[in-house]
Amino acid sequence: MTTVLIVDDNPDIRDLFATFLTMSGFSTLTASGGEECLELLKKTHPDLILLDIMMEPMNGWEVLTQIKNQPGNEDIPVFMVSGKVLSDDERKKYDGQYKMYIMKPVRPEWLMKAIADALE
Amino acid sequence: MEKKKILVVEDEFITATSLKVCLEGIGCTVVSTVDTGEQAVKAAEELKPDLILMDIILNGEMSGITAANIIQQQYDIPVIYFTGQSDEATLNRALESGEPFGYIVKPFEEKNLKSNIMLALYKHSMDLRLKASEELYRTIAEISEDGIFIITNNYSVAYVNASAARIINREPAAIINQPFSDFVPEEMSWQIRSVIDEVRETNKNTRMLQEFTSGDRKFWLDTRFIPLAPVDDSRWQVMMVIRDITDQVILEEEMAREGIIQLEKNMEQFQILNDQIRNPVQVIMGLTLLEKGPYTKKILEQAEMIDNLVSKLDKGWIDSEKVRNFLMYHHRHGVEIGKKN
Repeated sequence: MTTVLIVDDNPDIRDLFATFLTMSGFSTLTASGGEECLELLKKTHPDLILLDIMMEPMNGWEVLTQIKNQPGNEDIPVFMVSGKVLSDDERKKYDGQYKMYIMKPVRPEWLMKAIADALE
Repeated sequence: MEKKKILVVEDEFITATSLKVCLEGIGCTVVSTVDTGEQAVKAAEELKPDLILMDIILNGEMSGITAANIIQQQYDIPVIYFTGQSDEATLNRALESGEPFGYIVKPFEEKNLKSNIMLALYKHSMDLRLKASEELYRTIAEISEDGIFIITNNYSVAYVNASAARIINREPAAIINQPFSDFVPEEMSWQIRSVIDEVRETNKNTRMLQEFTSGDRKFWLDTRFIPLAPVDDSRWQVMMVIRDITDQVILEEEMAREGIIQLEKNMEQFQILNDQIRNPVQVIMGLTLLEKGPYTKKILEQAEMIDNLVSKLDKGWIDSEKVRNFLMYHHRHGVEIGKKN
């Protein structure tokens, strides 16, 4: 079964995304922050990660860098998910390291399609 | 003309007497007549005449030339030589060694004597005025907080004031007549040379801002280059007036830095707020679609309206980012504060 890891410090968002992913036939894992996410990745190998950016103490970009530095995880596609726009600095700095930048609010059916496309 | 006091130095009695008559005839007072160099120096000191008429060839040890030089240096009294026609070689020597204010070849004529005296007195008064004004400007230059150099041939230093000596951390005496390149870093020296060349060519003032590091301190100098009239055909002069604007620059940079930090704080606040507003919007949108009902469309429309409002704030954030990048680029603070997320 295809597994998607949802990393977000907002429990409502985690629940919402998990609900839709389950409905679409994915298995889900959740983490409430960067540290938990990195711990999980030592034990499991999800097929895709939804990664929130505005988190404390480690923000999504820092988590992304660490994921990409963990051997075996470089190939996991990561969707950056945020309620803020992507800055020029971030675009330049992290270009190529993430699969897609998703602005909240996102239509669930649209998100499900994007995930399915990315995993094809 | 007020009565000028003249000292006559002449060892021939007849000449001395006729000189005295002649001088008094043209409105001068002969304060004394002496016949040796030694006496001349003594009389100059005691009587303080306005002018001295000095025979070059005198009785006694001291020649007229020596006496004249001593008097001019110590008491600043103008001296006119007079001499017989046979003393041409001596006269030439006299003209070369000192700075006589004139000379008269015997036998003298009254007209000639008068014009020589008037010319010598005039020249002397001009010299005094020039010295006074030179001293005035020198004093102004010395107390100036700006560093002043005058650069001349071979890019050597013709003048340096106290502030300039302080800037390059040397004694003025160790700088004068030395090449400018001895005191400044090589790169800076070449830069200054090229500006000096430009100023000489165009004969126009110019200005240069320089930043340099000494030890672990940074300095900023604002230097004006001013072409001066050459001393003579072969000696050009360029004045450099250097102002240390380090404090001012540091203050400006500090203010810019504060401004950028404040801007970054505001921007971060923007981002946090936008993210926080969009999370509940996302939840509302998601839940509404999860269980569709008669109001689903309306709720989605309302959620979209909130999202559009937040997008306007995004635009403000993008503009702020541009302003911040501009400021960071222009104030070179990118490395220190640009690394924040």
